[in-house]
Amino acid sequence: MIDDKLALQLIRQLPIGACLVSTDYTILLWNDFFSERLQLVPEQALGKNLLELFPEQSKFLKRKLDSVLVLKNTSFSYWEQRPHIFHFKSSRPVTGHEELMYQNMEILPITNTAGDVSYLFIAIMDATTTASYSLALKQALSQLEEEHKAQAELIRKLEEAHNQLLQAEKMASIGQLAAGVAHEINNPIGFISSNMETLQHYCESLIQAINFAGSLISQSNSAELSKQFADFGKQRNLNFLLQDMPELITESLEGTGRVMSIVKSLREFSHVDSSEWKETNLIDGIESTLRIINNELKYKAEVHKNYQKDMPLVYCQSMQINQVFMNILLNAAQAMEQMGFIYIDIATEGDFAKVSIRDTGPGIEVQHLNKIFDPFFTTKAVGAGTGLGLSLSYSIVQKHKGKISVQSQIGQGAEFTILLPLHQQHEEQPEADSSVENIL
Amino acid sequence: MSSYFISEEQKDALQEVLNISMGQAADALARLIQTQVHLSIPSIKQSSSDHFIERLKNPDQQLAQQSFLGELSGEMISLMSDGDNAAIAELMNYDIPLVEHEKQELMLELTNILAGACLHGLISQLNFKIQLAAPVLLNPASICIEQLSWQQALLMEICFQIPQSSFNAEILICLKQDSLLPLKNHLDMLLQ
Repeated sequence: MIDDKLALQLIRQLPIGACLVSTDYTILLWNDFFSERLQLVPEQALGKNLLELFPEQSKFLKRKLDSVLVLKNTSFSYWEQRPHIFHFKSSRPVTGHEELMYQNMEILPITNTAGDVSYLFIAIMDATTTASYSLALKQALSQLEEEHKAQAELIRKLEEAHNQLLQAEKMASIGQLAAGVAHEINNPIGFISSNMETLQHYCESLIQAINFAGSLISQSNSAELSKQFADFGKQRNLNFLLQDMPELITESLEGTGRVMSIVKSLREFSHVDSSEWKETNLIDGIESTLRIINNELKYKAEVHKNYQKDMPLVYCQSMQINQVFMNILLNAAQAMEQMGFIYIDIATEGDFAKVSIRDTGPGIEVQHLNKIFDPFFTTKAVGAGTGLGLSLSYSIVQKHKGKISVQSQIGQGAEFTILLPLHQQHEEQPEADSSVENIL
Repeated sequence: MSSYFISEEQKDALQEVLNISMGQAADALARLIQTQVHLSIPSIKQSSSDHFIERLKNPDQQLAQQSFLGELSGEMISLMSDGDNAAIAELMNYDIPLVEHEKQELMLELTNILAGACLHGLISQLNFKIQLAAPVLLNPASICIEQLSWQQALLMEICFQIPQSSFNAEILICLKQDSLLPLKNHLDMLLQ
């Protein structure tokens, strides 16, 4: 059996903090763990009130001690919620980075024979190693989570790039096809058109000649001749013919005109032609575009502008970019069923100039959203739109290494956002241009 | 309840013991937090493992677990409403508003107090010697039926309410089938 002296020595040397207090919180036992790590020898602690000795933790300690007193049950504190109850120096002064020891605490009731709590035993356990391990693990986990998020973001970007590539490829093949078709159509439609114009002149002369002949006949007072001429005219429906012929020719000329404008659009689409690259003020560009289409806009929408001050110049093909603005603005105006608003914002965003054009029109249907940049896609009535405006805009913006995107909700209008890089590489562009030029 | 589990007689005795325990617990809690605490009459149930897991997976609650070891060993699980805990924190003498780790501390403290109060009467009346382990937070997502090594367990359920606050909690004292023998023995001793 061990004697009291040995028992006391054992308690003193326990590898945990051991402290016994009476029910009025007076310290009755203070082992080496406490005295060495707190630099507080037993003489400075014994007989003192625990709560007064540690005023910072007194509220917490009192709560814990009281609950043990009342409930006669052990109470616990865990390093994760309350790491440093007592200011113990870290148990890893050399290898660790912690300054203070992480602690777990248990407060046990010591009951007398009557079952009442007569003492409270406070045991402090060093949890520094576990804590630092657990904290490192947590950090690694959050790092992993972050990397996972970054990866997901990368995958999303990849998907986006893939989609853009697909779109670009589609544009390129459509572009080649369009170039070929435009070339084939351009010549015949050219001579048809000029022939039709000549025919129009001939036709005018012919009508004049017939009319002149008619008036000569009526002046000749020869009833026989007049009758023969009138009969012939009636037989051949001459009056109608004379009236319809110029109309037919005018309509045909209109038709060829339309074909020529489609061909022109196709040419522009397939090779964004020789428009000059220069440092351009986008605000001037949009203002001049607005002036050009003022007639189309003024009865459809009120334009609100919000331009960033000191907007930097953008190196671009200004005429082409204006074309993009015009396409989007005209679409907005045409979509508007009643008087609405168009909001134009120009500002910088990172390395890009951002132009956003928002309208309060009817919006774009979800199933159309991913098609609106496709060539020949149009929701306008047959003959009213070529379906080339936005795809042309798309290819122009692509050529500028920029981005064009659309956001829309039915009934909420649509917003087109154009991003143009602020720092273009000046040399590459003209070369790329001339190579496309050769196709047509 | 099958006789293989605990007999009707044993169950009645256990119910009686629990009722007395709860009276003591309510009294102690009222003294500790200086407010009235409502306790339900404890219910004793046999539960299958899948039913047990279902109980824990209610998303609107916070869980904590506390083990007890010794002559009787098992676990207690506290299920607390995941709502406003400011009122109870104030009663418990915490400084509000609570930051996250203080919320956890409150949760663990409440688990220790409530579960300890429930268990104390039971073990002192039946003359068991046990040690309580520290309470820990329990993530229901981390428990799955494949992990459980038992099919049937004895659950003792007690509900707590503090009328002054929206606080309510449930404590489950869970004994696995193979830890029932000492309980049955001690109940039989009480019955004699």
